Amino acid sequence: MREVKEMSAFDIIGPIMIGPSSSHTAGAVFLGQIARKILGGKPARVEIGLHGSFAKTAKGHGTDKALVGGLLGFAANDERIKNSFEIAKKEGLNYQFNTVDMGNEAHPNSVQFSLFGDGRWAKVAGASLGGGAIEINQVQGRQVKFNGDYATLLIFGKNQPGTTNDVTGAFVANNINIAYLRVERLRHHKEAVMVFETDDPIPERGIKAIRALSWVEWVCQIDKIQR
Amino acid sequence: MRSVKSVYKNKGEIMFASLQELIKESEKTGKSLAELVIAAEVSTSGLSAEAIRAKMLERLRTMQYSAQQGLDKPIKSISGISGGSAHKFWHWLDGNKPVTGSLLSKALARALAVNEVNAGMGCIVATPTAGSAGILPATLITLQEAYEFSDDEVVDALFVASGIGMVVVNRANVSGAMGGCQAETGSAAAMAAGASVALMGGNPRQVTHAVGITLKNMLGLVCDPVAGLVEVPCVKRNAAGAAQCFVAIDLALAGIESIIPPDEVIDAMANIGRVMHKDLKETGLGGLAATPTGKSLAAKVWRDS
Repeated sequence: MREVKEMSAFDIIGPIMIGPSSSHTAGAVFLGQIARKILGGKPARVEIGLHGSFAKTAKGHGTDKALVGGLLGFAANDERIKNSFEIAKKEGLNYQFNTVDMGNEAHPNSVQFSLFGDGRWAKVAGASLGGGAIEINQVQGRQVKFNGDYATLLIFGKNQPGTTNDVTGAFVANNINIAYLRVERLRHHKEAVMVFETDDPIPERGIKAIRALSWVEWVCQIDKIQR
Repeated sequence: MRSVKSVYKNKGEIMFASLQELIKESEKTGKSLAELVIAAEVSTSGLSAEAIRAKMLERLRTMQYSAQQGLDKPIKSISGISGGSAHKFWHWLDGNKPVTGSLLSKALARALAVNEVNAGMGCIVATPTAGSAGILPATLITLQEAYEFSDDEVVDALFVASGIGMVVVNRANVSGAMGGCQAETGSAAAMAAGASVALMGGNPRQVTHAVGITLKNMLGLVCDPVAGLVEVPCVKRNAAGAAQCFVAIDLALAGIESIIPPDEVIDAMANIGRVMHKDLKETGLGGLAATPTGKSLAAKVWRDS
């Protein structure tokens, strides 16, 4: 056996993307897409806080247009990204950019979104790590960690015995393979945060069953990033 | 390209750990380099060879489209500091006799074109990165046009380029921030040279020596983008990368070899990247970025941001 890097031919020839930069443009589109998905619908208003290099070179790299393109649900190779500001205005998506300081620990290409729409709200923060790889590290004020390379299910709820068992039933019932699972306790052991990364998404009926569990407070499934 | 996880592979699986391994595997199995890369992709992705080829064809179509887009009309970058040179050069070729000849001059135009499309927020294929996306399409499309290769043959060449790229990632890296421009346009040109030699009928050994010769000639190249943007000097470095690639293609096809074995050249690139000063690795602090003009352009871009 020998240790090598796990790669696909399409990691080398690809992705197909809107330029100019995989970290500042393609990665930004993915971050916007995930923020939209976490809101669970079309945002009417979004405050976008840019940190570090994202704040400094947003305009030159088109990071701002890419983030709004992602919020509109565009793919990373969608040529409409260049005109995303005009399209957002037409579709009634109001956006506002601010410069934020997320601290020394934050990756230089970090962004935080506050989204509102359809009576819902969402807060999402993440970073573009390079080459189109991203990481989401905060959702609704909770620390999480996932990269969008898998279908991702986020569950926030009460921390009590048997919760993992309650949820895994939905995976078994739908024959879904779990790639990664993280469970963390927060807020003086009162709250549990679960992050499931799976090969396929759970069908809507499975999500409904999880949402119906007495201890579950908030559920969201995020599609795998289309590269 | 995306960050990658390390894995352990079993004996018998292709590891893309060295170019030498690819030559040996090709000799042992009688398969071409493209066939080896496709077989490895089938085994890791679970997709059929047909589906994988179709996916690569989609990438070739995007490359052809982006190259044409940049020639058809002048494309201005979104920062406003560069653009329009591919269109200008393409028109100049009409009625002039370029010293680079009819083949290389067209490749230069297409390399500029793809990178200007990239800087203008157009659609490109990162090969291996967005900043070096012009070299591979420029070279392969120009050879396809001149020698009338089919799309299928060019798709095969793109798989050869992937295989070379995977070896580079395993031994070094393809990131300007980690290894300087030699790691980005150097790797892109090395991939394009190897792929082109395969397309032109060269054997696997010649393919690897085209990689070695190209990369040798681009060692030490720093990544010093003005304002940290993928424009100055990236667009013209893509043209230069295509030219380096052409040098190596003919030398390798003639049977000339790199005295330093190609795998060792890749290792040298990794080592040079390690000792290269951080100001010269995509930070926009040194080299061209630190010139008076580079600094004033950066100040203008940041003021507008």
